[in-house]
Amino acid sequence: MGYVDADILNAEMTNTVVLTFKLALVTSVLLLIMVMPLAWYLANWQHKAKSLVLSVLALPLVLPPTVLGFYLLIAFSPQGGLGQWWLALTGSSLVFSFQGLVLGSLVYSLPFALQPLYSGFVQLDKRYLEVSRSLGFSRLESFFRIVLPLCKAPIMVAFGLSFAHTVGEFGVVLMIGGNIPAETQVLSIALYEQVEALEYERAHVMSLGLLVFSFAVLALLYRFNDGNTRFDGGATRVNGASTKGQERQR
Amino acid sequence: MNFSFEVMFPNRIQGRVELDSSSNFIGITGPSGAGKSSLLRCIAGFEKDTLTQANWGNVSPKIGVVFQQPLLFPHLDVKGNLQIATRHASEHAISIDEAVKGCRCEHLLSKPIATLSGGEAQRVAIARALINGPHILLLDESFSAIDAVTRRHIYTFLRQLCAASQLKCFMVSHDIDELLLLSDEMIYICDGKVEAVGNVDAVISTMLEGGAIHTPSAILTGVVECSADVALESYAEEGFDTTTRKTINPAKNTVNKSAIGLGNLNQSAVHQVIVSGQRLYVSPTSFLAAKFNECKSNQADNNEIGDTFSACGEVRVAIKASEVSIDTNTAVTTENSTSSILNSLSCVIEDIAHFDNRESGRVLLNLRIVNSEGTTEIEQQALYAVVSSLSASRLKLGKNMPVIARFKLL
Repeated sequence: MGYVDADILNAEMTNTVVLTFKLALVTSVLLLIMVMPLAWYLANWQHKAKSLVLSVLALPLVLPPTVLGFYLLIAFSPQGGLGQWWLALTGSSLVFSFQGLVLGSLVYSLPFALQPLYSGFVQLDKRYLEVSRSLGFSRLESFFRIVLPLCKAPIMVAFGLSFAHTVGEFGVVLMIGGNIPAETQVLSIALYEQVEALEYERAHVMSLGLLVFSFAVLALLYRFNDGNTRFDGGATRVNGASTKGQERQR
Repeated sequence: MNFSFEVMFPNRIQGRVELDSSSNFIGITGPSGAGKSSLLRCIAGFEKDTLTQANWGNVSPKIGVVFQQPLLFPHLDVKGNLQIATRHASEHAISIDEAVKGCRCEHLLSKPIATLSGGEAQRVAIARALINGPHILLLDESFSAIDAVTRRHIYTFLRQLCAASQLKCFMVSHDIDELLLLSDEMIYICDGKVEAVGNVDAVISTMLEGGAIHTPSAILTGVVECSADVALESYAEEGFDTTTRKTINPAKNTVNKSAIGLGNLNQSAVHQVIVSGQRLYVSPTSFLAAKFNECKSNQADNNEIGDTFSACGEVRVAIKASEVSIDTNTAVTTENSTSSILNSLSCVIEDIAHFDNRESGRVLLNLRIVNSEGTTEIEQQALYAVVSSLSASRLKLGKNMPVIARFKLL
């Protein structure tokens, strides 16, 4: 690795890195804003169809990215419903654009943001809300003043996972974004291109960079999560209280 | 005007409760799983799909809740938890200072929630609810981890608040003695139904008849005259000969130290309470002021809450039936007894009941306390005693028989 040329970190590479992190940041922030109310609603929703809805929302976890990318490509194309609407609205195509990448990433990374938030909200003792309501707080006030601070850990995990997952996205990006430098070429696509061109030195640098980044994000999330898993207000030491609370939760 | 509520929570609790408007402290008891907590949750409006109709006399009262699990917000410290309760506090809400003093958590203000013990967290949770200024406070076993002395202090504080403001407390507890002592009225719940509502005597009778309790406690109402040490000091000043036997002179609030052997007692911890004209010796932790309205001005002057029993006059004392023994020699009273048992009350046996299980070998005596001469009390107070069947037959106990009920310092 010591003989890596200085031109590896050229403008193209910089653009790719910036684009990748820009896509990840926009996607994660948008996901957090969109998924938080969805996760809260699902956590409090009791219906027979709930498992079905959760399964649909978790599909991107198990679906081959190319399958998802294929359907998104059809939807985003100027002949597709969404693509047609986008074209009429903005005058530009959704396919092979940064906006298209963001939309695709939102779908692809959705379960990575949804699952931690949903689990966090489900595990939260709902009696905190009952207490806050009894203290005169509105539902919205309770959510912002009580729920969000208590669910700090799942929120951070949701953000971190969706960010890291978007950085490593490949299949969907390739299908709907192609490989346009400075526009849709993200790190994983650039890496694939380098391997195709037998540029293993550059491929090494990119792979190692992504490896270190992914590891660092996960290590940080685990460390943060470990320190913030207390949801009981320090009160489970009251004999029998936790058991009673758990019974009520059911 | 009375206040009432009716709840219909399928498979949990149903029933109608009507309570006297003057009742400020309502005790709720019953076996585990009977529906006590469900009743509170219905009152609080936490349970959906239930039919709860309430008439509080007030249009929409603010209802505060304290669960057994304190549920303090862990992202805030103690002070933060208390301050957050002031955001939507009622006009009549008490200040943080008053609440922390009354709930004895002044020293906890800067502590993180995670460092609190169970009892400390419960005290803070009660203070938080009070700071919000509820009209109705629901306490669901909220004192379970608090030590007895602190608990008694907070009870007194709560009753004072009830007397001073519009606050009404509903308290769920398995400790029937404490509920008897505290409650103006009680609710007994069994198998998801409200079985009995009303004054404590009526509810205890129902529980006794239903076999829910076997050794009932009696609540005696009396008047604190002065602490025993005050009386003893007055005798010390008069230079009593310790060998002299003297009888109590209620009119002068004096007692013969040598006659009843109080010399070795922790005198400062003993109060004299006059019940039906007869004198009892009670520790301050064993009684609660029955009425606070009368002593409010006195407390305001002292700026003290909870430690003004003597000034408050009327107090309640709970006496377990199992702690009462019977003496048929009515000539031997506290003053001339050679027994270490300090308290004695002249009574008449009203009824003798055998327990369902006759093999238990015990009987329950229903006693009526005899009003001593000169008392203005019209109603006669009741006392229970559990004695062995053997003792009952040996002493030939029968209805309308005068006896002395004895029990140790309360």
